[in-house]
Amino acid sequence: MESDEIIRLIQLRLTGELTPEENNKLECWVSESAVNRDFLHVVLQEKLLSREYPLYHAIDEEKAIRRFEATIGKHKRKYISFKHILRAAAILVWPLVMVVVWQWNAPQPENSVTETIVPGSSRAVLTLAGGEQVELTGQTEQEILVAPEIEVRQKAGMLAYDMKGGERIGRGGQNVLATGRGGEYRLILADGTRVFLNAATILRYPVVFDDEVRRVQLEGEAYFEVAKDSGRPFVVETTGMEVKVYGTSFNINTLRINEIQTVLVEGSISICSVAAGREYRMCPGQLARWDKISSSVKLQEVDVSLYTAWKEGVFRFSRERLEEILGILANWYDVEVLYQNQEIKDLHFSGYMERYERIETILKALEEATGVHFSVWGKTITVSK
Amino acid sequence: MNQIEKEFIERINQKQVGVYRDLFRMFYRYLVLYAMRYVQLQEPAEDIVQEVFVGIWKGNREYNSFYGFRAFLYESVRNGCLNYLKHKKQEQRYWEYVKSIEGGGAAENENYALIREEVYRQLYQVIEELPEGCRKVFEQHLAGKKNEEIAQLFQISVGTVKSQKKKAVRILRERLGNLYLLMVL
Repeated sequence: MESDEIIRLIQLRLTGELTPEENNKLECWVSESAVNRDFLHVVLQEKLLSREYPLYHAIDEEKAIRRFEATIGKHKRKYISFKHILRAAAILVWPLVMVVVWQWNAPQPENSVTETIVPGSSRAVLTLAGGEQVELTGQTEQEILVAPEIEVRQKAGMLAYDMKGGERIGRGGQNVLATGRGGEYRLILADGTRVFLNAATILRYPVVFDDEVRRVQLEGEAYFEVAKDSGRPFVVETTGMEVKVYGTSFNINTLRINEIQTVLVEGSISICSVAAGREYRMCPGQLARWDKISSSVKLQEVDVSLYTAWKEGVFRFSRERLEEILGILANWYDVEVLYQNQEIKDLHFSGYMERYERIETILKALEEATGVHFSVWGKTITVSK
Repeated sequence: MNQIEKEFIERINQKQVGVYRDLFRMFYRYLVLYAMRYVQLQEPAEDIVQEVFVGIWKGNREYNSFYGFRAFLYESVRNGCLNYLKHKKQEQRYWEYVKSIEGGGAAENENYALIREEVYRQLYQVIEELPEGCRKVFEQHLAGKKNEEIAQLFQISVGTVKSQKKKAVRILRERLGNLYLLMVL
């Protein structure tokens, strides 16, 4: 029997009851050798769980992470100064290299104009409670006054509402962060929850959370890592459907044509269909597909990395329809897609490519795999077969 | 190795920024406990585990498998403990402990050792992530307290204690019931 299975059976035996089938499996393993039998005997006898669990619980993990980050921060600074020395030497070599590279990359004549299409980048627009708008990019660093006496830090593609030394209390009104096409942005909310917004996404959230429940509204796609707070559930509202969060990481996407997809990476959430008044509890590794028309929910086991690859900078498609794929590319590269005929939309494609890549590379791969042809004019792509 | 375990190892090898948080979430507390079995005190145990993690960040090692990576973690922590005890002139304690837990010395013992650690590591983590009320009740149950004692302690009804225990067992079963979760754990 595989180690993983044995581990699980022993864990269940230590904390509860085994089903007759599980009991048989364990007995079977025990009877295979004396070593197995002795091993189980020791584990059941030692009562390690009751002795050690309180110690486990008392260890401050967050503090340890901060300590680690501080340590590696100091190390990084050492490495950076070393790089400066190298850079001085490199400058002498650079002009030679530049000439060679330029010749090799001489522009080819193209029958399409593609210089205006660029991949997405870190940018968004923040709208404050009073209606004022602030543009955010990946480069700027500033403090923004979002409410009377409440300042938040903006730095390197991330906006942080949390505070060291405890959560803010009081009132701050609602803020709205919108990425628009070709944008992406990271956010840390007042309770420490981390959110990564994909392109064409809008998130509405309070500057300071309520006492009873933490509510945000989402249109688009975002990856959430929800800060643990068992006293206050975290709820993500979308049109017609809500996600109630009991702990940690998941991805929600409302941009697909017919459904809202929610993928749970770890922790525990449930999907609530507002109209139907039903709640569906999800397990990690599951995808919930909420049908926009019928409001019905289907759950299935999936490879979650397929749905969260975007936040690692990668597009992953698994037998995906061309229409959905080009829809995703359109949001990221901010282009428009026109189809010569309807059948093309149903062609399937599986693949894996970098999100910060030029669109031409991706289109070429799609052409080779599906046999379609793309012609690009300005920011419009026409698909034909 | 399932897909997620494979990707975790890839992320570790590529030194991807976000992977260290996962490393902490999955291994930190348990490795500190593991070290405490040798060095007794929490503070030096935490120092040792921090050093191991910083070593992973700094180093150039490529890990081939999730199994190998875990074995490496435990070994590194053991070495850190030995160094600490040597420094404190207490090596004797280390060798006594080693003898007490590792009877034979056969190669396959390493597999059993890893199984034992994983049984507890994942279990502690899943218990820790139970909803708070449920977790508190279950913690007392693990400590051997009876339902009536737990009810008294938290000023709740015996019925509530029973249902919280049932809930804990159900959630444990769900979370431990999917090989997928090995990565998550």
